[in-house]
Amino acid sequence: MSAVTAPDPAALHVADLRKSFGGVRVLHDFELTIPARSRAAVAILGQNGAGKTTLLNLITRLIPADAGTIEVFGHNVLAAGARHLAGYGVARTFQSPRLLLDETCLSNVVLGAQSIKRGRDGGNAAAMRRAAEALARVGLAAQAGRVAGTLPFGSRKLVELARALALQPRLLLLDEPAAGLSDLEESRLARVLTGLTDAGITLLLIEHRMALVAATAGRVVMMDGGAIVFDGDTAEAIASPLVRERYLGAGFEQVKHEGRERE
Amino acid sequence: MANWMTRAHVRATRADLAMAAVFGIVAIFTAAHGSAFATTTTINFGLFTLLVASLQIMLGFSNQASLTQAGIYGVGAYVAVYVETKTGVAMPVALLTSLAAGAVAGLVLALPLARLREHILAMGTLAVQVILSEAFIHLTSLTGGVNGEAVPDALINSVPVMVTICACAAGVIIALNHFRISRAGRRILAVKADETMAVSIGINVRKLRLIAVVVSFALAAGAGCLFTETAGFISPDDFTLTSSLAVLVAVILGGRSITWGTLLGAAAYSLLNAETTSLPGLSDLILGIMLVVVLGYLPSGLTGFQVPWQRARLPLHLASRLGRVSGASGEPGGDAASMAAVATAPAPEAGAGDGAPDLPRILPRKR
Repeated sequence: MSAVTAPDPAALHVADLRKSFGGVRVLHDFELTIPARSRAAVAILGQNGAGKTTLLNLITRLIPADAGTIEVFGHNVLAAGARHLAGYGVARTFQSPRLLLDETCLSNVVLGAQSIKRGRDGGNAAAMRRAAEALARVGLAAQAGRVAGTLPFGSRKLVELARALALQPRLLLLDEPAAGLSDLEESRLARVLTGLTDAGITLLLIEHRMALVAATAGRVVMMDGGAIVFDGDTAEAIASPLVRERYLGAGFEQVKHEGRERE
Repeated sequence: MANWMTRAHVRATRADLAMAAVFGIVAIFTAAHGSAFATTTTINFGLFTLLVASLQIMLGFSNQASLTQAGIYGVGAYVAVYVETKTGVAMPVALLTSLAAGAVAGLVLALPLARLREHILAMGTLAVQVILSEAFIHLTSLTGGVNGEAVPDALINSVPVMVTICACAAGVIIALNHFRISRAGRRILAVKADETMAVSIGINVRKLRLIAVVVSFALAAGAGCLFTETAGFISPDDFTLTSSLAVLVAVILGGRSITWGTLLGAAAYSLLNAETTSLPGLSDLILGIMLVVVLGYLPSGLTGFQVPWQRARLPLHLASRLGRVSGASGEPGGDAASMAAVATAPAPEAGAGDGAPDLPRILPRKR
């Protein structure tokens, strides 16, 4: 340990974060730190209205925070505008994909690829190459020329993921990436996501589908009423009586293990 | 894949040539006709096209409705006359001054208007138009008030001026047409389509919206300067709220195509105006009725409807009903390589119903 190397700033550091909509307190004194180079995804669980998407919108500055600190890789997010997030290495997807539906998949992804300026590598040809790579990474290389609006919902979500990847992020925030996907698409998505974490991208995902969480996440954070009520390993989370009671439902796993014994 | 850009430019160039040909034919016909009435009509058409194009930059590219284009047109006109009478500079210098005045007006007005969107923005720009109209009337030392201002050395009904104005209009439309498919143009269109999405991929929404206002106002003011060259006399009546409304109506009437929408909207209004000069107010009435009809039955404007050979570009819900949703069908002449790739993609990777048309699902269910 030499004294010269400062510790890596955390990929995400949230402290004392508060947000209310009118009289409704969505987040209060919220704290969450994700170290850089987490090898597995961090999953946020919670019932509808727990404040998960609000947290993502706060991190990406789409809505203003009432108070608190949000830092990504040491950059103070609350002092910067939303458009600077991409430059800090943060990209996100939305619960329902936001794409230009009249445009081809490739031109949608190119839009993301053109946002990063890497010295001389900022030309159109380079952006096209990055976009094609990103599409290939999510398994949609063959669909590059298709108009986004003609794709099924699951593929649109993957195009949006590719657009986020074209920004070459270090921290990727995914809002329910598996919602509305078929089982087959979900398992494909799981493979894509583990590939991303293996490549060193820190993933924070909001997800309801436990199969995807179990396949990709190493850490599970459960929110309830705007605060964290559980934070631990995925295995711990599935075993935790608290998570079962508040989120999975008391019968989860037991149904599988004990069959109809309960009834 | 690299020729994806160039193909778009080739398509745009075809539209450019056709559009320039239209202007050429109109100009030649007018010159051959030789009457003052024809020349005036064509000059007004060219000037109005410039104004419609200036609003296309705001409304068509960045979804900012403006009801102040005629006011800025007036700013450009008064600045040009003022500069020419006070300093005696040549017309090109006056034109540059007008362009600069419009850009400055854009910068100044964009600051208070930056937070406004859609209808509220339209209301804000309406207020600006009212202020400008009042200013033209009451700042008599600069504008001559209601009596207006005589323009020195104006070339009324001059064919060379008519040709110049038509060339300017065609040039501006060509520039917009190619800007639309450029990198910057696609980014500003992304802002128009979905601001939240644009911000999330790092697009500077504020800057792009500001640039659109500045360029739009500069163009409108430049058109104002050209107007003085042909008018001989300018007064506040030339730059009223009604004119601003007419520009907005022309853009809505024309519809989503930059080239043909601009041209059709401007032509419709100019012809209407020329045909109804003996009955002032009638053109506004007809325009109002046309607006209601277009908004009600052709919400994407005169150029928004589909002609049979464009069926590949039908809206999705119609396209899927017709079973036309297949690989790369949306782009006429789509990338052959990607089509081949779709055809040869390994079935398990493609997934259930991934590449094939969703025909079975949309056929009417039996019982």
